[in-house]
Amino acid sequence: MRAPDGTYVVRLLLPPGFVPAEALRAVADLAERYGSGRVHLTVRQTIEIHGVRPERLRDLLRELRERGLEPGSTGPRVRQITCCPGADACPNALDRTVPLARRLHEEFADVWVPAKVKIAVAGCPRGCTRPEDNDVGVLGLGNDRWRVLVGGVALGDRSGEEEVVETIERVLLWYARTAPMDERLKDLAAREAERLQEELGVDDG
Amino acid sequence: MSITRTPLGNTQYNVLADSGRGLGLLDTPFVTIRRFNVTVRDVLKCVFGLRDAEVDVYFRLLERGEATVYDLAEDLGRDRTTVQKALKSLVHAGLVNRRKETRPRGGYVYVYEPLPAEETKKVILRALDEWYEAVKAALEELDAGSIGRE
Repeated sequence: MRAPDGTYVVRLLLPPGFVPAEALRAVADLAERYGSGRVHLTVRQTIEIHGVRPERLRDLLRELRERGLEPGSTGPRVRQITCCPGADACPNALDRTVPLARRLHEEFADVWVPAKVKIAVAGCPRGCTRPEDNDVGVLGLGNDRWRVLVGGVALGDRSGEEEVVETIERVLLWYARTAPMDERLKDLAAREAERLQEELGVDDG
Repeated sequence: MSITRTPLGNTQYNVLADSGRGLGLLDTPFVTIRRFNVTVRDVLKCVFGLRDAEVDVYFRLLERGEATVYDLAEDLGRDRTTVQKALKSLVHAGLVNRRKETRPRGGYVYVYEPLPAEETKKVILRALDEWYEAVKAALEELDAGSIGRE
């Protein structure tokens, strides 16, 4: 991404949940050497290195990869997957969120779609990560039961990681086949809520 | 506008479907517009916003006719997750289909294949139209003065 002052912003794509200290040290080092020496913590739980001069961009991207970090997506791609810490840290959580969010990261992060897709996982119906406001929200109900929401439209509940992955896979395929270029999934879901539930919902929710 | 069709230009979409001729032709310009050499790769990157790594997977799949993620990962020397994501992107873009095949020893595997040439042509032309309309509309809406002299 290019900032108004002509420098570049390099966004990272991080495995969701927890960032290892080693990765934070690498980011700090790269931000000092290639950027303005400070980073932005984004609303989608990733990190951006700011103030990268154009002529240094290529070297930064190379070193980023060498140190096990990945640049993040812009444009028509699945964005950084957000999650709360879940039962690993939060007393309110009904389930562990990080393993599911990491699996979704492995399966979908950075995949091409008609317009950007935001996915959030929450460990309980309080929904601190705002699953209902995301294009796809997954909400923990306990005992590995998960409610899948598309643009806030509930598709019913699923059991276990595999069923959640399979559902999101079908949702994204439906989206790619149905949406005109640049239409967000949540807008399509609002427009086609009935069809969405008919084709992809389950009635046990 | 100056447009020069290279000999390949007459057969551009057959090239997409012809598995025997190698990847080189897909990266060979099929038309030159105002001295800009346009390849199939350029078109896919421009109108869909695909990346080189995804186009590489697509071209390799065109060569093979059909393949699993394992075949392509081995051919291209890339890890399975990267190739899997590239294939998902290509399926979403409407360029590739996948089907489930049962394995002899149980379980199943997804087999990927490019769409037939005629359908591919339609998919690319539709994306090109959408891209052109979007750029045209955005240019028309630009404030007077943003480009040129007031």
